[in-house]
Amino acid sequence: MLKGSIMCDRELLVGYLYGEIDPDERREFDAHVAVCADCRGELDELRSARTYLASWAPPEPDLGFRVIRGGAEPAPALPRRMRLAPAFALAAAAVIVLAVAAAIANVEIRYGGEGVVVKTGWSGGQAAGAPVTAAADASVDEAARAEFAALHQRLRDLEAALASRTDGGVQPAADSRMSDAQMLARVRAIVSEAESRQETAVARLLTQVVRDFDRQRRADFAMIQQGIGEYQGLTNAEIANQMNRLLRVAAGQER
Amino acid sequence: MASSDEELVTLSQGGDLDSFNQLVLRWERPIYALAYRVIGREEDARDVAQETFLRAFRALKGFKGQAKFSSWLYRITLNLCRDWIRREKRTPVAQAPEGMDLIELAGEETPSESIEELVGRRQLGRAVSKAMAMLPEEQRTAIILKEYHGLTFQEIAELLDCPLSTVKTRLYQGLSVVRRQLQQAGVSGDALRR
Repeated sequence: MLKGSIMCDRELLVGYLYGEIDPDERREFDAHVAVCADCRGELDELRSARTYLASWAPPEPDLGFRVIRGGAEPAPALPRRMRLAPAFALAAAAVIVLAVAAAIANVEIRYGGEGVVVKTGWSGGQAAGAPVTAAADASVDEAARAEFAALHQRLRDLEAALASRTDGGVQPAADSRMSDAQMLARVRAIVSEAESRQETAVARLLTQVVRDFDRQRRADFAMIQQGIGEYQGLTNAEIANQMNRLLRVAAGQER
Repeated sequence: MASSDEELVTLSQGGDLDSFNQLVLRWERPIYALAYRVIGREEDARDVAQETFLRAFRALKGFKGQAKFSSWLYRITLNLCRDWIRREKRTPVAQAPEGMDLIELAGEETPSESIEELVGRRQLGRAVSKAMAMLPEEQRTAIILKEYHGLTFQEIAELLDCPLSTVKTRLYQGLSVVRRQLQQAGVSGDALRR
């Protein structure tokens, strides 16, 4: 549609909207908008949209990212603390086993502010959507078989440990519906089913889980090293305070 | 007088950690804001932002200054956001097997209110967020870079590896959809006056 001296040009309209337009084009577009109701209307709509967008502000968390000394590489990103379900006596090993086993079912594992955060989903017969792009090869399959074997052994160890308890195992907390034995049975079922599907994602996710734990240990260690580094030049009283702080941190890691 | 990004980068490349941390301090919030608006999740955006600076630190020696330091950071962030989005799409969220109470599903809260409901409650910011979330990734990213980070069309085109005309088209289409969504939800001129 030809109105005025130029056609209704969407790109020119956007350039005009954002003020990124050369002077000659601006003059031409000014003249065009004066006679073209469609372009005038479009311009008003886009300006309104921009005004709405101004009301969208992101949260303002306490970021405080810093690269600290500690070797050739900076401290890795601090993952959120993983707090284990306290209701289960076998929580530490069980959560790892469960997380890995659940990962076989095409699950993403994250360590959320409230503990392990998992999104589960069965692939429904499709190949597992592995988060890494490395092609499946013989070495990965071999690793997966080894990991399944290790998983089964770990489950047997957990079951033996549970069977040897004289108190019948830890009863589930009020917010949980499964006992240790039920959970282990369920985990074993998941592992067996996934193994039959020959999911290879378990090896990758196990690697990720191990890497995350290792990263957490290194991050904790870096924090302790930093605390020790701060001792230089401190008075005895300040050193005592720092030690207490580190002890509280260490105690927090064991919960 | 504050040092420029280029000066701090040069010092950082020479091993000055404090200079790099000054860059981090300067850019952590814009990088976080970019990640948050693109992927819409606070904690994940935080992780992306952290990872951005880690990667930048590791690759700093190879940064030759052909582009602005901030553009380089934005590119790292957008690549990480893209990877996050691809992972999210590949992993369907479904019901956990029965009895799995010790596992939390999808830790992030997903807003269940419609745009109309949010507008009705004068939650314009959240209504805009929801409208933006409905856009295709490339339109949303173009709008975010233009509206919230002030990049030029050319800078956006270089970041997104697309022609200039494509950037303008994406902006046009994205803004039009946002406008339409909010208008249908009842947003009027009054909603803009605070």
